[in-house]
Amino acid sequence: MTDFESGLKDALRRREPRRDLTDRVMAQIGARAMPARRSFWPAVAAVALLTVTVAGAGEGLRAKRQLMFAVELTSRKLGVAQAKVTELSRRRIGRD
Amino acid sequence: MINRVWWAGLLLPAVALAQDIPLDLFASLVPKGTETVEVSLGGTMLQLAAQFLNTSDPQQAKVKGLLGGVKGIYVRSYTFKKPGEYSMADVDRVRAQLKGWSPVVNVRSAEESTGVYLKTNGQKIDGLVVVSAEPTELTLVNIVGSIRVEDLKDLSGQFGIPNLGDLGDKASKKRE
Repeated sequence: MTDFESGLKDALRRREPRRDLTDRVMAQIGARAMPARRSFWPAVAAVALLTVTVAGAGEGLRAKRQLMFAVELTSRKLGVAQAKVTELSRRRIGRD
Repeated sequence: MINRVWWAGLLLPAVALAQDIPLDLFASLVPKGTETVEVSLGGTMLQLAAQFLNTSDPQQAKVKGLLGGVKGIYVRSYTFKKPGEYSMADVDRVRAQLKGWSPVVNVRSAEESTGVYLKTNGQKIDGLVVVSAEPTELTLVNIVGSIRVEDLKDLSGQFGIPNLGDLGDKASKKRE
């Protein structure tokens, strides 16, 4: 038997697996399953970010509506004030 | 606990100074009003609102242009079902807060009262208060910060509001 043949025979000789093989395999499967649980957090963060963004936009639009209303009302009241002054002036001029 | 009180003491003056006049002067009228409008836009909210203004819209562009030196806009407006739900004493309480302000318009009759007050700093306007008391509507507006009243008046007629000139003409025709 040549060295090559004896080496090959040795390499192909049946070996019993280690007793803890099953436990190690199961542990590896468990370790690979872990990242799936961790990937839950980016999703939560994305939803939270989206919620904050939508809420911010809602707040901004509400503030805009309030601003437009306030300016409109102020403008209207200034208009009424000016109209009253104009009317009073015309009355006085009419009297004089 | 003491820390919280200390912080509250520090922050309260800042909050209280946000507007020029106490806005709770009409608080007792709220239950009597059929419609109540309260707008409180401080600096941060004004900045946020400005970001949402569409400058391709001429009206909104004008409003954005107004906001340059404005630090706050506060409105209290109450509508009542019938006249007599508030008294002129309520209005006078507001006027009493405006000592040192320049009354640019002050028109009073038995049933109505309109006042426009400016807080000036040299040639600069640092604040505007409009008090409008009509038989069934009471409105208080306070704009804090520098503002050009002419710009504000320019918006008259822009929101479906009658133009100032039209109002003047209508008033004279009514008189005739």
